[in-house]
Parts: sequence; structure tokens; C-alpha cells
Amino acid sequence: MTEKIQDTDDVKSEFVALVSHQLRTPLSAIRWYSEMLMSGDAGELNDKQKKLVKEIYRGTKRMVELISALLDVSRIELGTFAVEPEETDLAEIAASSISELSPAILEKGLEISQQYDPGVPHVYMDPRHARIILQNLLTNAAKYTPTGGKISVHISKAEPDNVKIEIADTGYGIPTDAQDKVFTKLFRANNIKAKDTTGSGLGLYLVKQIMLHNGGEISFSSVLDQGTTFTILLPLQTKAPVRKGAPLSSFENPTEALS
Amino acid sequence: MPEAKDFTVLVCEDEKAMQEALAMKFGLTGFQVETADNGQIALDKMREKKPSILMLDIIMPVKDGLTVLTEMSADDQLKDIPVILLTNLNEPNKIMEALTLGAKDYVVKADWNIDDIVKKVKDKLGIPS
Repeated sequence: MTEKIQDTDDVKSEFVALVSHQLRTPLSAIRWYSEMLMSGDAGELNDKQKKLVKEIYRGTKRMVELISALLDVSRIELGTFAVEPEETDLAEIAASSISELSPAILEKGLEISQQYDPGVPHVYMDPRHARIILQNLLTNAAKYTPTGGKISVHISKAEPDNVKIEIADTGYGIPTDAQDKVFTKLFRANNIKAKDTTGSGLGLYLVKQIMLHNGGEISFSSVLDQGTTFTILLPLQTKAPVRKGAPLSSFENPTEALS
Repeated sequence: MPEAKDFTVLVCEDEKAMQEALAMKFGLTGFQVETADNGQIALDKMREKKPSILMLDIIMPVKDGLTVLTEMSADDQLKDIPVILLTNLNEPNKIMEALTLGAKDYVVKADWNIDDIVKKVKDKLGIPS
């Protein structure tokens, strides 16, 4: 019986990978052609044409990211994603994730503060998981904070054997009646003040699942019109067993989501 | 100083739209371009005239990318041709296998801008940007 379940899971996993490949292939072609149009490879476009092509490009990129996110969800639920832990410097990953947000931050005039307490040990975990966690939370913070707002990142040691990450924003906040759904699939807060709520709706679900697999915890506090703080506790030694498989790779592209 | 016009790129990709997009972009950049719809055609073309670099899809009919790499590594005429894999598979095992078989590098098509793919090829061939 166990063997039969495993066979079924293998078939499902292979099916998802194949469908993902088949969907991403034509989307890649559409994206490349729209890039070439935007570059003027088929002649100079007027402003209206450029705008239309840019929308095609953005839509395509978003679909590719959604497929990647769906693939990651499938891998997490089937337990077939790669886990390759190593000594991981969370401060370094946080800093590089913030620098990737830079165009969006500049455009919105957001103030970013980073505080990495001295002596915080490296965490033994798959660094790709750490990157997905930080990129998702930082992207959300930037997306849901209005122009001129603030985002802060603080990494500290939490006794006895954890590292704590706090990501706080002065954004729109999460409505109270939506807070119990934050980590569910396809969650999108109905906050009419937020200008842009595009995204796969899978980011926080993925973050939660990754946290659970690593033996960590995630929580948040949020007040409407004041902001949200996400708190993560990661054990110094991941609880996720080492496993070969396909890496989780999705994250929401901040510059596309915010521009 | 090497220029794109001094080099030939062979694009081996069974998805016509992607093959033509790459061929067009490489051509506009100044490269000589050859195309192949599957691995067997690519091998035949390479035996006739060696390209400077091969852009190689993995999943193809008739002969797939891994088989092409295996045959290239066993052929003294072909084994030194640099290969960059084109893949949309998020399957590191296949990519690792291809790199072990002699591919120099890879791009995940869904994640890469076409301009960046051309830049990678120029870097590999030592052509200044």
C-alpha cells in the first residue's frame, strides 16, 4: 500500500513538472518576442505600442512566476522538493534581498532600515529556503506600504537555539477579518488602499510551509493603517531532512509587482 | 578584437517559436546562425560545419539533448564545441547530467531575458559587449 502511494505521488510529481514545462515553454516565447519588440528589434515603436507590449511582457512574466509558484506548492505538498542545508548567513540574504527590491523602493521613496545584531550565528538550512522566505516577506512589505513609508528588518538571536527575524512595515495593515486566512493558498487581502495587489497569492502559504518543514515558526501582528510585523523563528539546525529533488524557486518579482 | 560576425551559433530547439526568436536575436546581434529542430539534425550540421557554440535544448524528439552531448563527447571533431543548455525543466538532475556530459553552462528559458542569453554567449566566446 505504501509503495502504491509512493508510485502515485511520483506520477503526480512528474505530471506537474511536465505540465509546468509545457506551459512555460510557449510563455517563454511570448516573453522573448515582446522583449524584442520593446528593444526595437522589429522597428521603433510609438509610445502607445510600447505601453501595450510592456503589458504583454509583464503579464507573461507574471504567468511564468505563477506557474513556478504552483510547481513549488505541488512539490511541498508531495514532499519532493530539494533540501540541501549548509551554513547560511541570514543577514547576507536579507541584505541582498533588499538590494533586489531597490528599483521599487526608490520609486516609492521607502525608507529601509536594517539591524543585524552582532554574534548572530549562521543557521544550518537550505539557503534557497531562506531566500524565498525573506524575498516574499520583503516584497509584501514593499508592496503594501504606501509612498514614503518605512520598512525595517531586524535579525537577532533568540534563546535557546533560534534566530529571530522581524520584518516590520508602516503599511496598510491586514484587515482583522482576513488575518486568519493570511497563510492560506491564494490569499489576497481586500485592502482597497493598496494600489497593486497583483501576485500569485501563494507567497505566504509557501513561506509558512517552508517554515514548518524547517521546524520554524512564523507569526504576525497587524493594525489597519499602521502596518504589519512578521516575526520568524528559525532553529539554528534545520529539522528538514536532507533530500534530493527539484529546488523550490519561486518568488514574486518585486519590481514587476510594484511598477 | 573578436566580433560576433566571426562566430556561428547553432540553435538546436524543437519549439519553432523559440528557435526563431533566438535565431533572429543572434542574427541581429551580428552572429552567423544555424538552426536545428532536433538533436540528429544538429549533429549532422555540426559534422558538416563546426559551429562556434551550440545552444542545446534538452527535451526534443528524434534525439534529445543528453544523447547529443553523449555523441559529441565521443567524437573528436565535436567534443570541443562549447554547449549552453536551453531548458525549461526545473529538474536539476537532468541539468547536472548534461553538465557532467560536457555542457558548459545552462539557461532556464522561462527565467532569462533574451538579451541576457545573447550576452552569456558573447561572454563565453570572449566577444566584448
